[in-house]
Amino acid sequence: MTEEKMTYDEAVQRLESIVAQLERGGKNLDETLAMFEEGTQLLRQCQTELSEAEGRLAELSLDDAESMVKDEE
Amino acid sequence: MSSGPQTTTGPLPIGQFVKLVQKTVKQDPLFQHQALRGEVSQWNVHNGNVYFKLRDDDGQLDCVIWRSARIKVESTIKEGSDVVVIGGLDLWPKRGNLQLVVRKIEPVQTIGALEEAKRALIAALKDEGALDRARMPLPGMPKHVAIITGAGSAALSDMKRLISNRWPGLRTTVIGVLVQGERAVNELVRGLAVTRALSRTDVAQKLGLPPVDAIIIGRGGGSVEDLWAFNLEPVIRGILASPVPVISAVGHEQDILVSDLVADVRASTPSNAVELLVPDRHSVMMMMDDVDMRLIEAVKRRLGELRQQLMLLISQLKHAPGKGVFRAKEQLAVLGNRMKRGAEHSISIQKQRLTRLEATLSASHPHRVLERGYTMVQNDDGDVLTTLASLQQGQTVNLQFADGRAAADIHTIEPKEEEK
Repeated sequence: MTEEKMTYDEAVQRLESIVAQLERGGKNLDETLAMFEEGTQLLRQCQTELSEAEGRLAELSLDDAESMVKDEE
Repeated sequence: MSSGPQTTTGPLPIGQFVKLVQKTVKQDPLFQHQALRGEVSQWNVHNGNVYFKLRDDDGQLDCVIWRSARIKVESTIKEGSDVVVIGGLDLWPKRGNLQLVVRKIEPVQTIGALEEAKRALIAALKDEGALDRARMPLPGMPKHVAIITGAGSAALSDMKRLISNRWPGLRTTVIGVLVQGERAVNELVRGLAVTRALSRTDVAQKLGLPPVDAIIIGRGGGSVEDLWAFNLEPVIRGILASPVPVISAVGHEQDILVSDLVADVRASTPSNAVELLVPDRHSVMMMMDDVDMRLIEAVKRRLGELRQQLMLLISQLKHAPGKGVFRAKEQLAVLGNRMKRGAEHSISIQKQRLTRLEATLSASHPHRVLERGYTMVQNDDGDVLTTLASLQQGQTVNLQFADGRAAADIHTIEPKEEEK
């Protein structure tokens, strides 16, 4: 596992490969448990990211939008 | 009945009539706020005022652009130009002719000319590699979508409806702009500048939002002219400058727009853009549940297998001692024997050495000397006396023989001559 946080897409990809490898079987106990641990963490990360997409829909006029970002730039 | 100067029904002085016409014309909004299209002829600048005729095949009208009105006149306008003017009618009583006082004049760009500009822009973009640039992939799960489109447009309501169907509550910022007309380019460019700022982590953070990670810019379908802003360079540059993926989403069928060519993703309509960008929440959640279940099932199964393997090994060990173990036992026994033998050998060597030492020791024992006829003299304390110096006259000493001892008194002490 890398220290850097994976993007949602990378996490889903890795998750799928872990599940596929586990389903193929043949891994020893340590590997199996390590993969399960990683898979569970990735699943949690994905679910967190999904919940982070929840927000609200803001409709702004161009002038309002400009002054909003201008204040923060 | 006589007629006189005081009658009011006589003929109207022409000046009065012309002024009446002037008043009527100036009061009618139809004549005062009119956009007219025609061809420029007899373009003539005099004292900073511009006089010309606007004409087409069916008619013509005198026009004037007063210097004092400070109207921007594009340098491309010349004799024969196709123009649109906005102005109001006036009548100059002294000369009695109608003229249009122009408040705005712009050349009409023919579609031919626009197409030419578009081709040139595409060629330039191709030269600089903008058309072949690596496209940014859309995020699998956008956390903050920005939409630049017509405020209150049908395209916007379609997109909003589709978003709430696919991912209710998806964080979205809509920036309402003009998408057609002369201000469209400027507004689209400004909208892109806002989304560029919102995609910056620092700006977004201060606003308490995640940074914008995908942009939809577009509008519903329309005539070629209506969509033209999406073919213009400032908008194209704005799209190219975006640090996050941009979807060009203009509803149209035939003509490819330049924005379609440079965007990271081309959508056929605004709704299509939402379909491409926003995942369906229901299927994502089902997928997550499925992965969760498969993960647990797979591990359970594998652990079961591993446990069975272990049980098998244990029973094998119990019921049929493996070769390895058997051999190990044998090996241990052999080793044990060897150790024993080795130890015995070294003990016997030590024994022999001890016997030899004993023999040597007994050879040097005083008794052996006494046996040969020597006598050992000791004082009362048992000290062996070896010199005359330790003797005194009258002292009693013990004489030690091999078979016993005797006491003796010292009579005389006679040292050797040379010892004196």
